[in-house]
Amino acid sequence: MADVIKMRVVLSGDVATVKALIPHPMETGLRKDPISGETVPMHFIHHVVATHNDKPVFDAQWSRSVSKNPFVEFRVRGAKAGDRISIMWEDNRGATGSGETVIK
Amino acid sequence: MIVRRMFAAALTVLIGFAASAVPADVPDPEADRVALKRLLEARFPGIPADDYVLGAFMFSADARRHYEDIMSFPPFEVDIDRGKRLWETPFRDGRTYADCLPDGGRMLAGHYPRYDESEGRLITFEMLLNRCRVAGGEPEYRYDDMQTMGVLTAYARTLSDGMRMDIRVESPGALARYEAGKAIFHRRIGQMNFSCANCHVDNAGRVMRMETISPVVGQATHFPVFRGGEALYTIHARFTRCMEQVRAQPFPMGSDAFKDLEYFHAYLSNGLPLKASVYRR
Amino acid sequence: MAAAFPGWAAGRNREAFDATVLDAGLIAAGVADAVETDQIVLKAPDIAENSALVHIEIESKLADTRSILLFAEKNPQPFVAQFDILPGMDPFVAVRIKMAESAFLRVVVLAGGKAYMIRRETKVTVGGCAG
Repeated sequence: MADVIKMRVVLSGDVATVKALIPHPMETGLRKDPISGETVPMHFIHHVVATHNDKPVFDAQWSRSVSKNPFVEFRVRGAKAGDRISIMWEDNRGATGSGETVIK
Repeated sequence: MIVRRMFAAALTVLIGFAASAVPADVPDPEADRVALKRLLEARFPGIPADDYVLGAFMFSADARRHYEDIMSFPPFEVDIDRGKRLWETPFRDGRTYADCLPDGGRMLAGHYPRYDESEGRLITFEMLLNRCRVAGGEPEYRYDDMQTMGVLTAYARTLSDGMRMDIRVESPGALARYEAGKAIFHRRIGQMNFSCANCHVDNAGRVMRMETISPVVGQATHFPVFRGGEALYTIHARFTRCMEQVRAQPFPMGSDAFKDLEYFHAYLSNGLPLKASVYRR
Repeated sequence: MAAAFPGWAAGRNREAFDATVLDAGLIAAGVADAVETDQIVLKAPDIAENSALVHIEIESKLADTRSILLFAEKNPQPFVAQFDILPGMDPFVAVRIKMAESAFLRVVVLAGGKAYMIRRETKVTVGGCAG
């Protein structure tokens, strides 16, 4: 994927609210390409892990029902400025991606 | 003319909802705009004027909340970013759109379409961008190509976010274009024999084909749109889709007919704040 | 990814995700006996006129929440997502999903070794004027 994961973090006290947008087509395998008429094959993120200073905070499994350019929002406790939040994903074709942001 | 006005008034009483405005003796865009605004505000009491930019979402708190949830971090930011890269790419002569346009292209889109006296024709915001391209030694983008002109305007128009629409009709030439656009807006077309006004004035706020119809006031402020959060439509692309939906042969995107319609259409949203690249269903 | 992330078990819950009928998915995920509770907050629109992008927020008020599971009961594969919540993360998540048709959304929370759930209907209309 050429596009990077977009992340926004808002720190309130020691709680970091993270919003992320992962560029990915998330094809269900049910859609027909309007020009070619061919069915677009299934292509979706099936595993996502988020970490706080390299410590995993969630481990998620997704289906093809998650929307295109998937959005996820979550909250991490015990956070402070300078901490790193990262997100890693793998899709059904074995491709992977990741993104990291530093809390300001 | 007096007989026509009496007939229209009688029709209003009989049918129970206001018919489209009877043309004035002398074309007066501001009178049109104010009359339409009053008609809609009487039909939808309690909805503030600025809420009209939300279109059909203005009628439902549930829909509005969902719109705001999506807009807090829209999936099409990825597409807007692509538009930003196009915007920042220098032309063959090394200049950029920001170099070519006043104030770097900021707070500009609300003035367009604009009637150019010396050329005797309407200039749209998209035409302005193409002029920059040509001046820089680049070929024009096609007005029907959402992957170039579409995504470019998805970014470029956001530089005008917050400005209030300010379309001017200040000369006989401009007025002729406005009146041409107004005639298109009121003309019944297609196999379904609907005019723009039938849906977006007469039936604004009603549900047709399982969707709430947006009033025309406010529409011009929020293009391009991303339907379903992903399908990009410039205003001409949306006009095209509307014409197809009433089973009419659409005018070409970038055509004089669509420019005239866009001019009239945009004038009706004067005073409302622009916000480009938004979510729609 | 598995090598970079040793704790990751790819393919976990595959059977549950592949199920095309809700009950089969619930059974495969081991949550068919989840008890209804008002301690799960599920926020979703009442009406989703474009079904490809439905914004959902889930918060569990149950102590010791370990996992949040989301089902769209009438999707071709009803099991949509599972979040395993690890220490340091609030039992809250927001995602956007596709819904095939009007259906109940079901959230199951695994907390304190038990399964709890809430259901909420979101109507999907595909308007005739949608671009």
